[in-house]
Amino acid sequence: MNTMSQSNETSAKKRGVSLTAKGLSKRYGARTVLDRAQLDIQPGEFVAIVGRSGCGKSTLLRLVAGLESASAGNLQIDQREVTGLRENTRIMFQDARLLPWKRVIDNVALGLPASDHAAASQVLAQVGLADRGMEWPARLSGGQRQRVALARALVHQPDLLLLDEPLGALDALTRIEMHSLIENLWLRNGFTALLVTHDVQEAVALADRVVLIEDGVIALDLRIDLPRPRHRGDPRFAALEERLLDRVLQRPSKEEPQDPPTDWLATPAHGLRWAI
Amino acid sequence: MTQTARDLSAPGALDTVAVSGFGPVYPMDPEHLQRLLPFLRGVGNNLIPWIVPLLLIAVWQFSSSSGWLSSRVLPAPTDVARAFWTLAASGELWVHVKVSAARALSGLAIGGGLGLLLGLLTGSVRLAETLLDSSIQMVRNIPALALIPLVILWFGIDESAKLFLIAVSVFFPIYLNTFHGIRNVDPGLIEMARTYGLNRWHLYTQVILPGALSSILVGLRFSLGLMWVILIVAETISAQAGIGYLTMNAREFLQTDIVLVGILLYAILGKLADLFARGLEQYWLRWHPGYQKAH
Repeated sequence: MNTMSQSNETSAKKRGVSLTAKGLSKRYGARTVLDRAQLDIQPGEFVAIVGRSGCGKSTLLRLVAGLESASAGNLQIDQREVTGLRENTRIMFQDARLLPWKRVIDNVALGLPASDHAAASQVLAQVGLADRGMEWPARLSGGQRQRVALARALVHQPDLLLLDEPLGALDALTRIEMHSLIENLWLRNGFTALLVTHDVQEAVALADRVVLIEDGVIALDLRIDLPRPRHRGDPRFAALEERLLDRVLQRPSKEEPQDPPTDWLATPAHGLRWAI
Repeated sequence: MTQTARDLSAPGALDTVAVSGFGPVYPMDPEHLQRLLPFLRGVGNNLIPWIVPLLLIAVWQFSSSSGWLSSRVLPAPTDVARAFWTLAASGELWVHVKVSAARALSGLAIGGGLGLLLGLLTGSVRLAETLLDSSIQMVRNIPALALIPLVILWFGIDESAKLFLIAVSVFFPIYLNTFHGIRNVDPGLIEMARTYGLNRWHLYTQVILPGALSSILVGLRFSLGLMWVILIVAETISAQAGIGYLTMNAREFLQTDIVLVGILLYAILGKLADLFARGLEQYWLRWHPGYQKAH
């Protein structure tokens, strides 16, 4: 028991990694999916990447994960070039990707040495599923499956957690529950988190910074300075959410004329066509 | 004050009603009845499939004993049962069953084992697929029974000919289903396992093989069906022991009842093999909602 709480403290002290992308591009044949992306993420920061589907946000995440290699530019995690899969990076996918033939507890312990099964049940308790360890994944609800996937990612104490639209398939209520669960575990463990989502509200609820990608180009990098835990009823929350949503949908915003300089710099030329 | 008094009296009043009014009036015990009804319905549902076979046997028995049906064509069910009993009591039956089962199972072990190994190989290694798969697909189109003349030329008519025929025929269903099972493992799961640091061996044993297992078992069930068919043909051509020998011998002496015993034995063995394969499915695929017993 004593050693457990000690290991908890050390993991809480462990900071996440920094991440730097310079001129990062990815092309499939003639199609450019990601075009000279610049990104600088501090250790322990929670960054959300939003954008419409097919805008290249998932590609950026797969590059960071080392699942694909860049066509140009460089990408560093803690000042070290990403060349392939990294031991301390963990991904949560949109579908939970649990092994259906393994019980929940064995799914969480995937890739752990057999001696570490205690850690698996501990993390399973952290996501609130302590009593479902012996269940088959097929018997869980979608939200519970994603909790198991989250536990499976966190049991390795990653310093970088990549979330690829992990809540996209869940209903609204479960999503709100998962938001606070992810936020709490992030606050407790201190890893760097990179969340890809098309849900602007989710991005504002969770992230320190929201990065908007449009047609493979980083179009906006917005800091969210709201105190945590964040409340959806907060007018500042609503204002940020609306501003982002307007930007994603490329609607002329009511706010934009009031503070043009910051937005104009980050806006690609085609986004400005009706402003010029 | 009056409010509390009413509150207090209310439950008491209800209690007396419950005790004096409803308490003793439970002679039918509806709860018990409610539990009994689904049970009876379940028994009924289990009996329904047996009605038609039992009816057929009754008609058969009736037409035999009333003389409509010659015993040369079809002896009465009671005669078949008697023949079965005599053969079983003398021990002759078990000798033949043992010989036939051993033949079938060794053929299955050889052909199925090879099919599984080659299927795993071509499913997992691209080079092996390009090298072997098209040749195997070509050979697959030859019906195993078409090989009989060639097999007799090669092996004569002894044990190895029968083993060869069975092995060849069970090879293909297991090979094909293993190959496709491996190819159809969800690539998302493989990608996940790689990012979670599984090495090649664990990736194979924990993700790819379990993912292919349901398909491999389908192949096994196909093979078991084929195995008996080929065994019957091979034993009918020539044999010194086995169920086929028993029936062919009985045919020589016009013992139709023993011929029927042989046919019945094949049916029972086939059914047992299928039950065994289904048992394997139910155990190995117990995680799969499609194989879980309804609760």
